[in-house]
Amino acid sequence: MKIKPLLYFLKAGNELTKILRIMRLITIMMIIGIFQVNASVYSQNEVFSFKESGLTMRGVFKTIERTSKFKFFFNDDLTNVDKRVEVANNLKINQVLDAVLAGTDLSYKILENNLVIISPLVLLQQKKITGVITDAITGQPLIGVSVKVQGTTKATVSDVNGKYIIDVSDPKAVLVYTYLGYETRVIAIDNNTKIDVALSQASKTLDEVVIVGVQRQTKRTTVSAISTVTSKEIENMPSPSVDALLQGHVAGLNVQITSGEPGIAPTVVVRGNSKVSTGINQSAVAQSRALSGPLYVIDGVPVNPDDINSNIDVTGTNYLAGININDIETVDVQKDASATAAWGSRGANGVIYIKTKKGKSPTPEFRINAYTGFVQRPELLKTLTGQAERAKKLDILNTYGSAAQRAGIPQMLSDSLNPSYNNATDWQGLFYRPAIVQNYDATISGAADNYNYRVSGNYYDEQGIIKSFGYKRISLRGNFDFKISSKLNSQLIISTSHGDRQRGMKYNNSDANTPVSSASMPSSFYKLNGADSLLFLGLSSQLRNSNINDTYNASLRLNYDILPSLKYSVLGSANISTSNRDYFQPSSSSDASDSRAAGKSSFAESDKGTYSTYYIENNLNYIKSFESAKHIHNLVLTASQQFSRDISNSNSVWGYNVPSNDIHVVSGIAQADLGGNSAYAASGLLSLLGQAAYDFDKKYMLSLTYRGDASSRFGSNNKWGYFPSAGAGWVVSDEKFMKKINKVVNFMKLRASYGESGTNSSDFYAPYNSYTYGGYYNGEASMQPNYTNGLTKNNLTWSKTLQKNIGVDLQLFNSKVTLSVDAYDRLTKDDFYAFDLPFFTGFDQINFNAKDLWVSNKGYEVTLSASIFPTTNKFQWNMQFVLAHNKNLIAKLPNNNRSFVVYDASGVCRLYSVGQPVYEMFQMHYKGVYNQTSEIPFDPLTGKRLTYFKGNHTVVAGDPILEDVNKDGDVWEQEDNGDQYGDRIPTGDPNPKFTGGFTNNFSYKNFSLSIISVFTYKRAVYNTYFQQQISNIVGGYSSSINTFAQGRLPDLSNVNYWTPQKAADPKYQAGFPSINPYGSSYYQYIPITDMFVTDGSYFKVKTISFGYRFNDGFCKKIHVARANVYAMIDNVLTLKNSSLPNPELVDELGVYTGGMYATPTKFTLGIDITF
Amino acid sequence: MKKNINLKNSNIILILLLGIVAFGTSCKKYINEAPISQTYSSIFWTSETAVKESTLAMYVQLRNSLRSDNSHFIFGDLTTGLFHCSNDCDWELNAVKSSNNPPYNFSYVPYKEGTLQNWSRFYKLIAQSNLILENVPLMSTSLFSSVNAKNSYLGEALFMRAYTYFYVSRVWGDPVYVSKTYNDVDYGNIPGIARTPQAKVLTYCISDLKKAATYLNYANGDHTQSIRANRGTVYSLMAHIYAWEKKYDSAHIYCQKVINEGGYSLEPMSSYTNIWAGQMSNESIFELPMMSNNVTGTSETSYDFFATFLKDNLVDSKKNHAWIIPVGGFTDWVFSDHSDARFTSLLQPVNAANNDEKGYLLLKYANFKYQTPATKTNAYINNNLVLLRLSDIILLDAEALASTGDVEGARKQLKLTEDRAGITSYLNPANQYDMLDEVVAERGRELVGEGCWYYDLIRTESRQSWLEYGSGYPHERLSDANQGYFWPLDMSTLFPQDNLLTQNPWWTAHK
Repeated sequence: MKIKPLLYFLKAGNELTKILRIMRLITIMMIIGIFQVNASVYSQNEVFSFKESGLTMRGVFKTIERTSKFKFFFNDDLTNVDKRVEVANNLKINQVLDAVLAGTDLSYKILENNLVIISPLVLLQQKKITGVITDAITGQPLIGVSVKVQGTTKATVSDVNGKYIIDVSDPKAVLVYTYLGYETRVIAIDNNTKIDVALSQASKTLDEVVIVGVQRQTKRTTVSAISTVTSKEIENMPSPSVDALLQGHVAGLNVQITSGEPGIAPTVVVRGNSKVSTGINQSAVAQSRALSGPLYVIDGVPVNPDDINSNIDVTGTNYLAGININDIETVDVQKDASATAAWGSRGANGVIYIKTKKGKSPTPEFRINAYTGFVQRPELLKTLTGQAERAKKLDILNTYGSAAQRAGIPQMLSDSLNPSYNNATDWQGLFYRPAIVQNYDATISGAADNYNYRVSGNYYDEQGIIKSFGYKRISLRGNFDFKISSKLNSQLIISTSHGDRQRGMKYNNSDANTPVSSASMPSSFYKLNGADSLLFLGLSSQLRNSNINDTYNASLRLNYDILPSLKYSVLGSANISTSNRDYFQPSSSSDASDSRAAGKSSFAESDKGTYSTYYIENNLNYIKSFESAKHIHNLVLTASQQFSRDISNSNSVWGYNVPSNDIHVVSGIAQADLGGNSAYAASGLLSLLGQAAYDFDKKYMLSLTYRGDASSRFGSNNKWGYFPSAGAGWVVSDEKFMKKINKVVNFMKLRASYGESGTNSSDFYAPYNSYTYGGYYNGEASMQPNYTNGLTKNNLTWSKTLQKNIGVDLQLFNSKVTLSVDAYDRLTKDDFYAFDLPFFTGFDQINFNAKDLWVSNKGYEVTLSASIFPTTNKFQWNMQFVLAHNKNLIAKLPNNNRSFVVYDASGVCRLYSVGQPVYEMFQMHYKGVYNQTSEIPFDPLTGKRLTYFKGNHTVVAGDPILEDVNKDGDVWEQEDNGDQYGDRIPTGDPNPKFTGGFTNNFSYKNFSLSIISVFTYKRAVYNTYFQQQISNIVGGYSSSINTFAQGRLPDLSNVNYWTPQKAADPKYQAGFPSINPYGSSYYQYIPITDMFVTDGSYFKVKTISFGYRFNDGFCKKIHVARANVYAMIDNVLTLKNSSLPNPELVDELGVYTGGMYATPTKFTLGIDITF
Repeated sequence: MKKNINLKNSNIILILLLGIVAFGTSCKKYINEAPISQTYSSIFWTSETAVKESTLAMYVQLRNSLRSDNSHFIFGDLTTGLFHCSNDCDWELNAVKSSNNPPYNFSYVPYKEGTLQNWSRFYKLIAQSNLILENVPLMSTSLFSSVNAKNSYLGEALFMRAYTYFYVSRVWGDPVYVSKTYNDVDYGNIPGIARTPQAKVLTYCISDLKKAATYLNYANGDHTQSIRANRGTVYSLMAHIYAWEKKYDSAHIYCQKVINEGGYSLEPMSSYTNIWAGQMSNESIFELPMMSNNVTGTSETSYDFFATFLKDNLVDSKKNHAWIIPVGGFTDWVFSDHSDARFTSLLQPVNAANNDEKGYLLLKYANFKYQTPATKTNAYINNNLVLLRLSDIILLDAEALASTGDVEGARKQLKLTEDRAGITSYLNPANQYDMLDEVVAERGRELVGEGCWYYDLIRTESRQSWLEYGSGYPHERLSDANQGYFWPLDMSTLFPQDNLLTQNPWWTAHK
């Protein structure tokens, strides 16, 4: 390998010397140019005579040199100089030269210091071409348009006013104008010196570059399923992180904003969930990792937020919140195996490629962008307060209670004059507030031939609509590109951010946002005292709960052209992310008089974590076009070697009984109350990647990828994993037979791909078993295997995803309409799974690849965009419609497909069974209400009426109709006769069947309007909130009339619950079973029936943004280059099919608890000025 | 100049190549990154300390298993009917009494299925001994202080495995026998294992114990060795296994070895409670430490386990929920002689109160203390649990002798314990039946509240029928075919893990 390039350079010697000579000439010209100022003027009117005839050109020059002070400069290699010429006598110098050089490709230039340069025409006839580049429709200048002389490296970009200047020497030169999002134009200069260009917007250009793996491909030739979101679609949206903004823009990317809490991550799933977690019974919602998340690649550097969160997650803040949205240029979502296999053991769940902005303006540009706005206090969940609540409660008691029972109505209800019980407080109101959101960006950028830069600073501050919540970010980013030589250039990116999240009393990410959960809030006329009042009236403000995340990232890429067709690049990066939490909870000893407050000791904790990723990548690219008589073959071969090392370091100290409530740190705590630990984990991943892309006339495409990953997270017997993929594409519209319908179908490409990608273990030391302290024996320590991780796992390996994809890309009616349709089939195997081990092994569990755990996701995706009006129209309307359908199911299960159930943290049973979706709810089926006793079925043989709860409850009128699936005369979730699953059936799939978005952009002259809507269709949601409230009335687990009196009433306004009085009418049809507080509870309202399963479909108008751009004239007056103002409304409106306040505010498993942080409506007003 | 440029290019290439090669080799280290926050198999089994710590873990697990839900006392004492617990104390155990219909319904122990009907915890201990037996032989002897040291760890592991299988056999009947570890198997497809007949399992245990005996020495009167296995422990267990199998000849041989060679002696009545005072008595053969250790500052106590026998002034401020030996009936049958020193000093009369019956509290484990006496908080009971002791072996020998027809030999052995207690009922029995009855009764008096008398009753049931006539078990349940004295297995939990598992005969038909 070392010898070949050397040989090449020896061979290429001749060409090199030529280049060197030209360079030398240019240098001399420059030196001369510098000296010319001092030279004396010599007469150009002197005439020359030549005695000899038949002189060569060189002879003529020598003669002149002899007889005058003129000196000639020319290159010896010029063949023409030895040509014989005829020259008349008595001619001035310029007449002589004109005559001599006539008919050659040479030209001359007489410099003021009597030097005469003879050189080829091209070098001397440099022309300055100037012009203004504008938008074809709006006429607005376009900044940063790349202008390039075709076939050369000469290029420039347009300035703030759209102006450009470029030197051209060849009169036949052709200029190429390219701009992201616009059609490229190619214009011949034709002796013009001023060329104004109008570029028209392209809805989807085929020449856009996408990066697949480490290879640059164009939209035209790629065979992968990739969706791009550009900065225009997301900029200035009032959200701290970009993931939430991708919602509705990308088909097949299901983003659910499950919480409105600033700084928290939404759920992001590409093409359906492939994870099957059996650990869903833990309550920490955001940490349940119940869904499969994608890999993010930020400016070429892979980042897995899941890894960071699971290792140093002390603050629970979204990693992506550290990136300023306005720094992002494009987001590519790569979905099929052809793209994701290039990321090997990390690509299985999709790859999201984020590219940040670079400097473009040739004149340095300073830009200020600021918006601010208010966040509306959300609507409180409906309830009755004060007199209305008392009346309603008494009504319920009077409806159901006997005279004797009514005699025991709690004093709280009967004694309305008691000052302790005559309040009318909706306690929710104490926690919510209107808030402010503000964002400031300052950017300096510029671009020249040899460098470009962009430095941006950002401050984002969003107050929470719940008190003591909020997120603040300060970030700084610099992108610097340097062109060191024609062969060597570099890109340097440095960024840092500081995030400060306030999260009330919350210690972990959970839905306990308010100090008292929505379902367990007390009655409105209750007077609070002691610890309760502390909770309501500001314990959260006495807490210290500081959550700081800092990131420091730097990456440097060097690109070197070894040969014109062979390019080498190296990328090195370091990403450091720190997460610090300081928590202090005061003791409530000041309230010791109240028994409820007693025993709450103060608590302080401090946790620090650092997660560092070091990444290095070496790429070798071979790019070659082979031209045959009629065809062009393009070949790109890429070899890449990558290595990344992740190190996580964390420590934590905590203590109870801090000596004073004024000390908010871990200090002065007695030894016995003090705890602490530290942790270290590191992992390494070495990868080799080969990519080949070939196309034939850009009509037939083939792409192959092969990657090998060696991971420290694989077992010792399986250090390497291999991930192949293949894809093919066919631009059908380039075929002759399509020419006829070219007007309608101007572009059509068929794509197909197949490949394997993987998921690495989230546990750094997954292959290692562990031994732990087993307790003391007579004062001596013992060690035993960890019973959930004690067996060796030398064969542990990655989890595989096999994916097939077919797709079609269409551009219709002169690209006014573009349509992409993809169909896919993803099968995930060998996922990491917590096997329950048989008792006789002595071990409880092991996390290992489940060969027999298959999850299938099949679906299709449609992206349709259209420009409704011709580009010449002043009024423009662009729309995009995105739809994805996914069918998720378990295809195979361990232990011979044995089904099993797991109860989630809310008590909803989930079925794991072949053919059922992951996390399918499994409950008894509710079919309505037995209005009359006569409707209740009985056993014809025994005459026994239907019973519930293993015979413990004989059904009466007003009871729910629960389906007797096993027809045994009793309905319950499991039976005493060994029927483990009793009368349960699958009752709800929490995986959305359809998701998508509908975006409309309008523009008229200087005005623009954008409306972004998203939707989710067909999804089951379990309403735990309403269930718990009803359960509190009837007594879910413990029935007490006092708890009913003390509790908050649910919104019963639309609930037609059964009462004996209503049922007196034989035609009465109840809408809901009896809610008799005196009735016997047989657990009918706990989450074992599908009574509270509702439709989670919604259509949300997510954002409306309105913009106005000031005219140039106005801008000039106020001395700015450009100015825009804009206004936005975020979370405008949600249309839904259920009584849920917001069907999106449900956890990963589709449970609505009422405690989820509401997504508030935000109104912002902003201004964007460029100086 | 031309040359220079070429050199420059080649240099860059060279540097890059060098970089890639150097970089490639340094990666190797990182893709084998091992944890520093935990220890794991391949580095763990490399020192004697690790082996010792693993060995101690077996005892810790045995202690945990026995203490779990007080199962040791439920299995060995509550089931005899000698103790009663009130309705609101351990209501989960309401069905485990003679007054229940059906009596002693082992299949209905709500919320305690996980311990009383599930043997999983004992398999952790078996896995631990298998792990030691598999790894220690692979370790170089040079890692140990001596060959004997290495062998003694193997001896302890063999003993603990045998002890556990024997325990499981006496509670649930036929065990699932496993003598290997499950490292690196196909974890998703571990084939089920059927139950192995008890007789076969016990043969394995005997052969394990014979081997263990060669690895271990007698304690020779060293009290401190009673907390771990030694040759005396091994022979005591062998005697018990043989007796359980009704191989009384062999049982007698090993009883004799323990009595004559073990170096144990009976604790005088004056210091009788030293037996449970923690490595204090030369009578103790095998005991589990459950004390607070002042030297190391560690505590291995468990309040609930022993406090189940105590209340009132004896322990904390507990007012009820104590297991009472009721007055009359079965109790009088066993403690017929109220002059018995054990009756007078170890049983404290208590009146009916707070739903508890009138009767006696057992004072074997009554060394009650507070960790913080000033505030009377963190209560604990500072006693050890004795699993094997000399009087147990002497009485077992008596049973063996009586069973083989040597009534006089049995009388001699009974004399030892009864004389100490100041009673003489050993003088009365004339025939084999009466002598065996006397042995069973004396075992009851001597070993009450030590979690073992129920097994004596099972063992002697075919001849003496104490379970039927004393405790009140239905006759048909106690037949050899029905084996209704064993506990049922929680099949809804265990069967999905092992689909070759079968329920005990009585409980397949009686739920």
